[in-house]
Amino acid sequence: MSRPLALAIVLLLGATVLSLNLGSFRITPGELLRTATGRGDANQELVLYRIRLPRLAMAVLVGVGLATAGAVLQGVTRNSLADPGILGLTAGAGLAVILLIYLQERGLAAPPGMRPVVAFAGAGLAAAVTFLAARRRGVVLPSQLLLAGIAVNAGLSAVTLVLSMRLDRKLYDQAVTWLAGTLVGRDWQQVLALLPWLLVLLPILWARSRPLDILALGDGAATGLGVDVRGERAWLLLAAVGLAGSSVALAGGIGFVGLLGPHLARRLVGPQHGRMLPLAACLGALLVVTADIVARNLLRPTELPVGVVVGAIGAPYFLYLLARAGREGEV
Amino acid sequence: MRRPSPPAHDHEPAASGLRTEGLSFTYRDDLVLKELDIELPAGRITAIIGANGSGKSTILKNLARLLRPTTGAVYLGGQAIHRLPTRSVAQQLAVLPQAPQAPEGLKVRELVRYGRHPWQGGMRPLSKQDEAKVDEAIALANLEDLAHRPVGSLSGGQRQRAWIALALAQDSPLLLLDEPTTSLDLAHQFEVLTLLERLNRERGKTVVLVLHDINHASRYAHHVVALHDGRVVAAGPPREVLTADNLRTVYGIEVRLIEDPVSGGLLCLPVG
Repeated sequence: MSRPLALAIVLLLGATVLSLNLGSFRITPGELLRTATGRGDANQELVLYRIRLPRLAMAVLVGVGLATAGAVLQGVTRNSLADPGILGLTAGAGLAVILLIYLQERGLAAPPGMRPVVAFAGAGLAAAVTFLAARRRGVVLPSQLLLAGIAVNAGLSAVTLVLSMRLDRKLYDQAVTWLAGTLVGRDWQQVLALLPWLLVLLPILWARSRPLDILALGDGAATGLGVDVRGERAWLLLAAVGLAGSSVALAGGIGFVGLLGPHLARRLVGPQHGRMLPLAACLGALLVVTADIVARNLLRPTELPVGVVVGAIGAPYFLYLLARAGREGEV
Repeated sequence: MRRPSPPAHDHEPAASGLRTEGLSFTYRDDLVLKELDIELPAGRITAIIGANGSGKSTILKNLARLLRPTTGAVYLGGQAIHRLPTRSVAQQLAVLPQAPQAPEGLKVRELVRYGRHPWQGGMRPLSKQDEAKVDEAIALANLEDLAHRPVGSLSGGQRQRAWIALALAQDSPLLLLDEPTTSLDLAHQFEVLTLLERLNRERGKTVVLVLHDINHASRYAHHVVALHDGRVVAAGPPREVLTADNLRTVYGIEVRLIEDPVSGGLLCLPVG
């Protein structure tokens, strides 16, 4: 295990404890231990097991999913700016959810668990449109993928905006919070909806880290080394879309995690995916858990959407990178 | 006077010959290659020359199955290359594309280790034998001191040697290179070409390379294929191919050819 990965795991454990402690109802580490061993009071048990733990689990899973998806998308497109947001996935999920809220307001009866399903379908559809738009002669071109994604994003966001303006005040707030990304009220059922995606897709992607490394050398070199470039790229993209789509479906449009986790990981352990993917996943989880702590406690009792906090942490990091790159003359 | 030396077979000559049959290639309705029948002699250095846009890189990409012929086929060891599993082709044929890019921060040894991919597949870690092949490739390319440096921090010539080392780790009898000397200065061009010559002489590798500089072709190649407008103008030993007539057809200029006092080959001087 690389040292940065060990450090990231320790930090993640620290953030986990902190996340369980802090909130409008404080649980001290001692109480935490007592509750965990079945000697806490009813309130503590309720807060810990029904509210904070599922929410924490969700933060970890979403962070892992988005960061891994981002790393894979960046590897496949050979562009370090590719992430679920830029490929239109987030916008697709957003439009689908707003549409659902809009139709429900107009009397559509939908079961309460519909939102993630609809969001996932929206993310998948948007990804499909992006990939179709980036095709030339039946091949998805990495160079076209970002442009297509930006176009799809712009289109979907415009429609989303029009729809959300027609919502009444309360539903509008709900919609905006969802678009910004939120972990409020996440329960075990939702955790269990997301978990299988990660359990299946993460091992697959980790096992493909060598072909991912080789794809980064360019199509010609990768073909020369015996990688089936088209097939490999198609499966990797599909897996990344599944991972990102499921995360976005359950937590909304949390941005930046897919950019920041992989970026930081690459700086710390280099570009090889065997070492970079696990670290990116850990850093993604650390970022979302930390952002959630801030989101819940900064303006207590008001809660910020976690996506807003992630953005507030992520944007300065990229500005710092830009300033550094400007000085050193590199990117 | 020293003629380009015939290869001394320290190793078995390449069993897998490479040739094209009726190879045509169309790009956006332009016929780039026109019914080419080319034979790349095993165990030799073949240079493909031609003016810009003559299709020489396109041939190399077709030979390396990076592009698929519109009609006709490329045969590797008697079998159509597009029918063979891409990994088993990679065991017989290594290709160095033009101006390849390594990801930022990737170290030389990490790059060279990818050369073992055709032999060990996706997941397993490299075996002792694989690591030995990697060491050997690094030593052959004279990169021992640079093995732990990021590829991006190397000079142009060193970087090109790192990519050649990657192809060497692939341990294939055939080595295809697309303009390996372009954008290198004189010393680095010499360094890269001498390395390829040595690989051919000492290891019996079949080398096929696209070259811009006729004098390089004359000095290092045993076999030259001259292209003009997607067709072969002439193919054969340098002295037979590099004539004033052929070069007028290929490049559209008058040249004078004189004996090269250093290599014993021909030296080509444009006169207008």
